[in-house]
Amino acid sequence: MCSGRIDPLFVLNALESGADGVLVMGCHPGDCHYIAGNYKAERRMKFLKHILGELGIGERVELHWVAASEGPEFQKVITDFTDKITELGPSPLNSKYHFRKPVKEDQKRDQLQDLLVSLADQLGYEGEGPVEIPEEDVMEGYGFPVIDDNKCIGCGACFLNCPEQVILMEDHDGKRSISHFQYNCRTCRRCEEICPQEAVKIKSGFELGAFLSGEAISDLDLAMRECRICGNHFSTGAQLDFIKKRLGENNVEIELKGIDLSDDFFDVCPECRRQIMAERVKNQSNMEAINGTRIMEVKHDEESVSGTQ
Amino acid sequence: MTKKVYLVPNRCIGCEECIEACAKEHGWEERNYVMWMDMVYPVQMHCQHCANAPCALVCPVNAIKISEEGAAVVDEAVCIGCGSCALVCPFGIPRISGMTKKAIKCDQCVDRQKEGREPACVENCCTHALVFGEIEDYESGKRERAAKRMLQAGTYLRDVLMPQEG
Repeated sequence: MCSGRIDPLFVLNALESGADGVLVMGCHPGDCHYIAGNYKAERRMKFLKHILGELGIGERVELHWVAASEGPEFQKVITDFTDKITELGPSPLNSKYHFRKPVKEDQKRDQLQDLLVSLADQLGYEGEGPVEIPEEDVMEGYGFPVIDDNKCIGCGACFLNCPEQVILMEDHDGKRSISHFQYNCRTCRRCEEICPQEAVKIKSGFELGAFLSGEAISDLDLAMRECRICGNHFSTGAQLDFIKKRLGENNVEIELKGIDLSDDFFDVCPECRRQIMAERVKNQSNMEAINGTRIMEVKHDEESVSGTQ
Repeated sequence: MTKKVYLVPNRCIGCEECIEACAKEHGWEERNYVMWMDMVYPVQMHCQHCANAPCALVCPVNAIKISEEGAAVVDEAVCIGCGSCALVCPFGIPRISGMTKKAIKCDQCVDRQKEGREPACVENCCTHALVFGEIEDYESGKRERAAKRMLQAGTYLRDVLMPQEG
């Protein structure tokens, strides 16, 4: 089997089922029949070794380059590895688990999480936070968004556009908090592309603690502006400042003042603005004079209701 | 002068047929509103297609463009759903769609206009409270219409019917 076919899931599966060590061997770099199979294997195994090292069983997995014609080399590698495993002793993992069934591409992440949670439980791993892995060693498709506090305006475009709901946005207590999951980010970089402030960056890496717990990591809280009329928190101050800046660039400030909504236009939420404008339409037309009778009907109804009570 | 949708407030009876028509035209998400003032006076609110549209100027990705017909139209392929247009609109018309997660606003039915039809809300307004055209045309025809109505109604209904023209 080509070493490029070795999924980290296979190795984790073997370890979980009770293997004391896993040795992966492949053709020398540059000799690959499929051009890049062994480069992929190298990257995946390095990534896996970093994670297993964090869990404490990193030495039990090794990757070696041995070509088909290198008989003595093959023998040496295997003897060395078995000696090393004999020295380390039996695996600290119990072997009551059976090898898990292979899964389809879209369920691999779930299985990876299951396996890592199972290993972490058995090994008593209690660490938190990210595992530092050099960027070239991170397996393709693993990463997490990092949001720049100073640049983010809290518009929520990343939250709306993320196909995997990695970034979350929540409004509570007059604050808009933005958080993210490590678990499901596929590094599609859609958030990077669309961010109007270029505040989101995808960092390749692996936050093991967050991956195991499956909980969101809080990024930042932004203060929200309160509507002068209805009192609802309708947007972040940063986004309103951004809009003001955009308007200033295009010299539109005067145009908006001409509409004469109030002393500060941006203190009013869109719903209240609509209300104000509708009020103005009503006042300018002679609607009240014509439909005055209808108000009396409504009042009459209210009285009759209260009368019956 | 471009054609626009105008509201004649006194003709509106608040049937909200314009909302239904708009929703049917635009994938079951309406882009206009009927505000009930003091719970009894309906005021239909739609995009005014401002000459120097703030929504188009403020959009960080320039997704809102002014079409040939003079309407400010959202290009959904470009829109990122940041909601800046909703926050800047003096009339509070654009909003972020719950389904597509993009900004939705009145496009004055540019597709229908190309076919030579009126916008859906105007076509379906049963009391002709929504008028599509140029403001000069509407104003110049006022006197004629009032005279015609008086003739139809006779003298005793004159006082009642007269103010209904906006």
